[in-house]
Amino acid sequence: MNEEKEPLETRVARLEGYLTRAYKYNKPAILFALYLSEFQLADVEKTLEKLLKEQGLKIVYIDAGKHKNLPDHFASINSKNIVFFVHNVEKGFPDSLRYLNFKRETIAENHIKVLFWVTDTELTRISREAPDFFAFRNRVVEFMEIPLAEERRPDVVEFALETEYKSLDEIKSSIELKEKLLAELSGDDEISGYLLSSLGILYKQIGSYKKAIQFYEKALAISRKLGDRRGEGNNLGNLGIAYSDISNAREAIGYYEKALKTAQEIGDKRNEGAWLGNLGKAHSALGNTRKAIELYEEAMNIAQEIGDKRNEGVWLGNLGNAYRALGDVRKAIGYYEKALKIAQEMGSKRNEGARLGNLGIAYSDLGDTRKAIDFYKKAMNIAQEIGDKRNEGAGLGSLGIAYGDLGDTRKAIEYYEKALNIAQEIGDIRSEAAMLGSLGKAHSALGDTRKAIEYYEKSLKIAQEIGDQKNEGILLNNLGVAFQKNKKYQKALACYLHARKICTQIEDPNLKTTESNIEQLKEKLGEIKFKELEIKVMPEATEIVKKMLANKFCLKS
Amino acid sequence: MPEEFVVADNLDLAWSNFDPLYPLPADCPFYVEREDKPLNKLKRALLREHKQPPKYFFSGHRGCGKSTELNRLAVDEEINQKFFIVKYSVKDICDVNNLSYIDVLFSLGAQLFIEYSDTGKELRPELIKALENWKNDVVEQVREEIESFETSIEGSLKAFFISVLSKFRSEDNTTKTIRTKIEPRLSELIEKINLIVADIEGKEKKKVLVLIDDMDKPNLAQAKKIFYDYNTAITQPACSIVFTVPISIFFSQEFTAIRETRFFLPNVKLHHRNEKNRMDEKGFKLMSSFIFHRMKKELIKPDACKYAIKMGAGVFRETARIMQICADNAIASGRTRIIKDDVVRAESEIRSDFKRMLTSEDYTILKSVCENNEMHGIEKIGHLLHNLSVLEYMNDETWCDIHPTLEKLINP
Repeated sequence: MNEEKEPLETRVARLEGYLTRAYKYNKPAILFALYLSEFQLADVEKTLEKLLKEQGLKIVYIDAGKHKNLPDHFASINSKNIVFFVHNVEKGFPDSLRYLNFKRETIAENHIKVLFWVTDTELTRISREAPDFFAFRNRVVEFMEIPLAEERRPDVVEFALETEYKSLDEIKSSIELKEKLLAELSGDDEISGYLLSSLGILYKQIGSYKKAIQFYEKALAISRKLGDRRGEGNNLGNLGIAYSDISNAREAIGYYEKALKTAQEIGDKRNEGAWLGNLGKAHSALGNTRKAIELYEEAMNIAQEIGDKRNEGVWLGNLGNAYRALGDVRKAIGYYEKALKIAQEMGSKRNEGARLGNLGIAYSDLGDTRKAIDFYKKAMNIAQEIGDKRNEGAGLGSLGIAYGDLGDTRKAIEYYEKALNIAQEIGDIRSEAAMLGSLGKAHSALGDTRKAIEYYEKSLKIAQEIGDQKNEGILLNNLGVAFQKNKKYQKALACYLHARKICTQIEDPNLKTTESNIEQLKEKLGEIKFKELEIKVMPEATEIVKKMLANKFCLKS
Repeated sequence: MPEEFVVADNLDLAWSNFDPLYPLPADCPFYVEREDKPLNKLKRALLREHKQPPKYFFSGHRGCGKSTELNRLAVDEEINQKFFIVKYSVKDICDVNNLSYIDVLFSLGAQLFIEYSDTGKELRPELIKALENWKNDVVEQVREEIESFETSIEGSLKAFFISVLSKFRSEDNTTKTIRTKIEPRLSELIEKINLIVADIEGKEKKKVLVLIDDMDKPNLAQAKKIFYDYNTAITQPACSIVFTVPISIFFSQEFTAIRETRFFLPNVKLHHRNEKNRMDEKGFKLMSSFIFHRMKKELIKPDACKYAIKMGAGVFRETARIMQICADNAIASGRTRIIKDDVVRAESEIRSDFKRMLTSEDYTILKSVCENNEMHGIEKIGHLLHNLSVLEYMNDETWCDIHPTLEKLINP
């Protein structure tokens, strides 16, 4: 909503007018001044203070961090010509919110005039967590322009780089603000670059990988234009991560290698380690586990060399994953335990949870499902304790798999559904797709192929949307199996053929599974019938799949 | 400070007259009467003969005029002929952030006693004696635990009541002690209240009616406790009582008050259900008279007025708020008359405030409310009703719609 912008003076005058009139008629006034940068806040405040003083008003500054019970505090020092300017609003949360909400009447009854200087985040919390108080507001005046003078730069840069947000809503509103800022600052390459890469990170967090890639590419171009090698390296690496997220390991490897080279050239050890390790992950995704192990070890050595304990733990964990992939579960457990110890030593709850989850998976590989469940539950408790929704979802998903292994499919479904809810809640689209796929499998195991197909299709749509071809292949294959069970041979074959095409294209090892499924179908139908079907389906396999996904009730056709 | 109620002939005074936080006193010339006189139902119910003194529960949306209507009921002639009226607000004499049913009962007894004494009359000497004994008993009990208590609640009965109420009002530690001492003697307290009621009724040849305002102000958890768990206790006193109740409790399944004892003050309907463009003439007329009781017609252009009424959503406080912002905008632009542009700017300001409050899920709900005007289960839209992004209207059936400033956000 881009309404016409009023000049700053008009808005300062609005606050002055309101407060002066409230003084004249002895009315309460609850006002909010919304600001973006501290520098501007200082300017506006100085001007307003001068204007109010000319009208005979007195300003009393209140630090909300020091006075939790603001209404009573106002009342205790109020007089007719006082205007309270409240700062540090966030420091008083959450207690101050409660007092404001419950004692709002005190402000009205004592005809208190108060102006809260707030950031967008602070005002959002007030409006949501102290709604009764917020309902008493008179006006909100926005001072959200971006300061451009050189000395104001650090603030904007800090805002541009900020990517730590807790909730989906926070991320979304931050994206909105940053895109606005980007449009206004298109002439400033340096800040645009920061904004572009942080937008990339934010879009990645909400699962818009294609958009993330677009932003990183733009950011990359700017860093190259400015000759900012460090920025160039980071953007290259981030592109690698984004491609990994959509399971495009080949593309990811290209970017990681370039990022790695940049880091080596500028002697940036920390990032050198990071890109080596990520390169390892990408190779591991392609099935090159030996190569991955080499890379993880190099990354780990660098981490040890520069004393980076956190990443040492991360690469140890990945070494564990690699050995597990090679079937050496005992060795994997050894690595996980070392990594767990580091996480505990460093007090990193998040990593501790992740490693406990890894240990769970390892024990599940060893067939010790009960022990695995214990680990998952521990991991999940930690995730809940620190509000780490992503890992809480991962834990729930793992528990689902474990109960599935124990044959308790109903319980598995319960866990998958919970994990699905979390993934949807936090906008983690990859996990959403994974849980939909798991739910498909579970319902298929229960013999409910209709429901299985429904879930597979939903999951498939997400994979196509985010461009995750690897999972697109797997899901098509699974759909094929479900259709075959339902005796919908034409659709089954179309799915298999399309899956085979994709797996071949991206050299996915799952190709073998799909080929053996096709063989099985051939056996079932007999050579002649199969040939007939193949001739019919082959040229239009892709079309059939497309139509099928467009048609909700595919079983009826 | 004495308030003057002059119909504003300039925007500056209009700004003051549209103070949204000010409930009107009983005889205020700013009052506009709703055509259906929603409080008449409650009035008639009170005027009927009852075997047992009735208890009524009164609710309505934030800003729809509850306190104003209750203030008027308290000075109604017929009601005053039949009743000795005690009206008070819990927020004036208790701490609404920390309210228990004991406070409610104690305040009721205390107000009865204080207000009757204030008329200059006295209760029976035997009753005074009994109350003294009860008071001394409580004081002694409390003193056992808190020594400082003795200085502050010595003295007359009236001083005792006032002192205990002031302790309820402040966040004093003694509040808890007093409550724990009174709680086991609750039946004694109720018995004392009933004796006072009987004495007043005998002397005045009138029934006693207690109007308790702002019982919708405590936080929900405390209100639930009072209205669900202690419903029996708070309805024990042998006088007629009208309680205000938070709206979410009023409509909940657990609220056991029977249909005949509930009264609801609806928002003013401005359009018909599912027909946003079909204006409700009566509603518009009422809201424009609300505006023109406070300022002269020439201070706003007719199209601006119509639009402001629409954006006020039929809620009195919201309409006052939007009019105040409009007056402010017009003054800032150096005009002496409000034009539509002022309203449009106020609309966008209010919309921005909503944008801040609403989460992504809220939008989905709002969209569906906007499309079909249906209530979807109080648990889903309770908080939206509370923040006024969804508003409820009534004719033969209840329906709802989104706040009109949100339409551009939902259907851009």
